[in-house]
Amino acid sequence: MTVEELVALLGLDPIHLEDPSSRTVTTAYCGDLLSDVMAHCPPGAVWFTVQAHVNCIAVAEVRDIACVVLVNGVSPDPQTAARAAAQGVTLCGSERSSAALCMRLSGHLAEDAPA
Amino acid sequence: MTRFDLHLHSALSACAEDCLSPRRLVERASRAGLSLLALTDHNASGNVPPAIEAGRQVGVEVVPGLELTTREEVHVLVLFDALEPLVDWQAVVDAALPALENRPAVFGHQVLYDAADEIIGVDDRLRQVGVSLGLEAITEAVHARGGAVIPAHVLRPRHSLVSQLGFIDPSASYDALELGRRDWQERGCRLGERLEGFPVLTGSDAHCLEDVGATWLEIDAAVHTIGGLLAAVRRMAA
Repeated sequence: MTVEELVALLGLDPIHLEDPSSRTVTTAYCGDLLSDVMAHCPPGAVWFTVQAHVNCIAVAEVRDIACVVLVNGVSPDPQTAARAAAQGVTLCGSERSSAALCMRLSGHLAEDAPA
Repeated sequence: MTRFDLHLHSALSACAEDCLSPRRLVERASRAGLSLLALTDHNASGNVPPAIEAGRQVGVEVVPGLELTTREEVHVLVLFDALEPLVDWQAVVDAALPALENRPAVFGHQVLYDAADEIIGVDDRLRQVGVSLGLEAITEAVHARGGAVIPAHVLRPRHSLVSQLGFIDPSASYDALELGRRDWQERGCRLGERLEGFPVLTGSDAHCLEDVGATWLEIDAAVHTIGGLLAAVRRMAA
């Protein structure tokens, strides 16, 4: 699934989209501790989090995350939105919870999320 | 010479001993030879004024402060040169805390003392919780009030800059970084060293009377404020 298709499927609010028609989303990850996300988030994932701090963009770069989604209506810190645009990291928002988004996404991705 | 500890809790922190009054704290610190300490209760500062008063009587300078839990659940020490900006900052913290009551059976009591060592009340607000402000916004707001921001026990696996935010950004504008006692000892750290460009400190993080005065740092200068102390530490780390 492309980022463009993901945004449409989940009704995400785009903050910065980077190459959405060609970037592929292969799996999903939920996590709010960036130390955990850095250790475990698979590349190509859509990552659901409440963590709006600017460091989440660096984590997305390091892990080659396809799309960062700030859930529960959390808005990004100003530095976070700016860094996403500057570094070419796709960042979206949603009023829905990580669980609700994952349930909607279930069965649509090429790979299952890791156990 | 100044012997100091910038991270101490009193009975106002729910997780600290209820008998850890500001007076007992400064008296024990004084006996251990400390001349400067910061009282840093969790999201609270109601025991700072009596600590300042009791400290004056035993020759211990008390830095007004608190240990804030940010929206990211990072613990940071917020310290000021005077009481007034702390009182102002406490109002910001109170407005950013969820409107929930403390549950002493779960979290512990939050006890307020006076300088004469009498219990004068209990704080009913839940304070063992994150505020709605992010770390970067907090750093900016505290600096605008002339205060200092020192992320606490930065390498710990819980409630630290590293556990919550993955890594330490060298371009951030923290005034220093605190390492927990164990990390400080294991790394053989010394005052004057830097981590990711920031001067490093350690503190006792005392939650019981026994731990007050057990951990301290010394600097070869007579300092009386957090501003003066951090300037001296920066000179050492230059």
